[in-house]
Amino acid sequence: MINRETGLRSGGALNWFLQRISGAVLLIALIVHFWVLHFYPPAGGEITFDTVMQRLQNPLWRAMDLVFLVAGLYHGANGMLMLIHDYVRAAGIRIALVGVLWIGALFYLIVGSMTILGLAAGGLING
Amino acid sequence: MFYRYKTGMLAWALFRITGLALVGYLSMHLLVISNLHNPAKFNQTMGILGSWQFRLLEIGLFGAVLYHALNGVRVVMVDFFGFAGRQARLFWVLMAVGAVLFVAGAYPLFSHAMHFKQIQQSSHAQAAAKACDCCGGVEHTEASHD
Repeated sequence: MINRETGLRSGGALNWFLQRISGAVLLIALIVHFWVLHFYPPAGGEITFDTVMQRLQNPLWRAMDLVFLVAGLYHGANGMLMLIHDYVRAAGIRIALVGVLWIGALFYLIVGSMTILGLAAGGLING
Repeated sequence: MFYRYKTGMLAWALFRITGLALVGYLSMHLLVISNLHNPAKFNQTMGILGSWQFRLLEIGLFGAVLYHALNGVRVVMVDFFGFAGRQARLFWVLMAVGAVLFVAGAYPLFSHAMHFKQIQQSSHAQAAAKACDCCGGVEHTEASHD
C-alpha cells in the first residue's frame, strides 16, 4: 500500500525492527569479514583469487556471505529510504528515487549472488 | 537538556553521513568483487586496491564502519534495553571504546600499508632494471585466461 502523503510504502514499524536486526547481523558478520580478510591466513592482508577461492570452497562461507549480502543490501537500502523520506519533499522526485533505489538494490542482489554462487563453477574450472 | 540535545544531534548527523558513505562503498565493493569470474582481472584489480595508498584509505573505511556500528549499538540499547535516559553518557562511553578499538585496528592496517609501500618500491626498482618485459605482459595473461 502506498502512503498518499509520502509516496512510500507503509509498514514503517517492520522496517524499523528489521533495520535493527540486520544491523546486529552486520555487526557480527563485519567483525568476521574484517578479521578474516585482513589478519587471518591464507589471505593475511593480501587478497588474491586463490586465497578467496580457498576460503569459499567451504559452503558455510558461501552461505554466510549470502546472509551478509542480503543483510547489507537491506540495511543500506532501508537507510537510503529513510534519507529520501526525510529530505525529499516533492512526491514525483521521491517516487523516482525510490524506484532507482529498488532497481539498484535488485541489481546488486543479482550481481552479489552471482559472485558468491558463481565461485563454485569458477573453482572447478580453475582449481 | 541542551547537552543531551547536542550529543544526540552530533551522533545522528554522523550516523547519516557514515551510513551514506558506507552505501557508496558497498556499491563499489560489490562491483569490484564481481571480477571473481575472471581470475586474471580479479588479481589485477586487487593488485591496484592492495597498493599502500588504498590501504591507507581503508583506515578511513574502518573508522566509518566502527562509528556507524557503535552508534548503532547505542540506538539498539536505547530502543530495546531502556537506555533512553542515559543515551548521551552512553554515546561518550561507546566513543571511548571506539577510540581504543580504532587505534587497535588502525595500527596494524597502517603497518601493513607501510610494509606494502616498501615491497612496491623495491619491486618498482626491480621492474625498472628489466624494463623490456613491462608492456603487453598483462594483456597477454588476460587473453590467455579467456
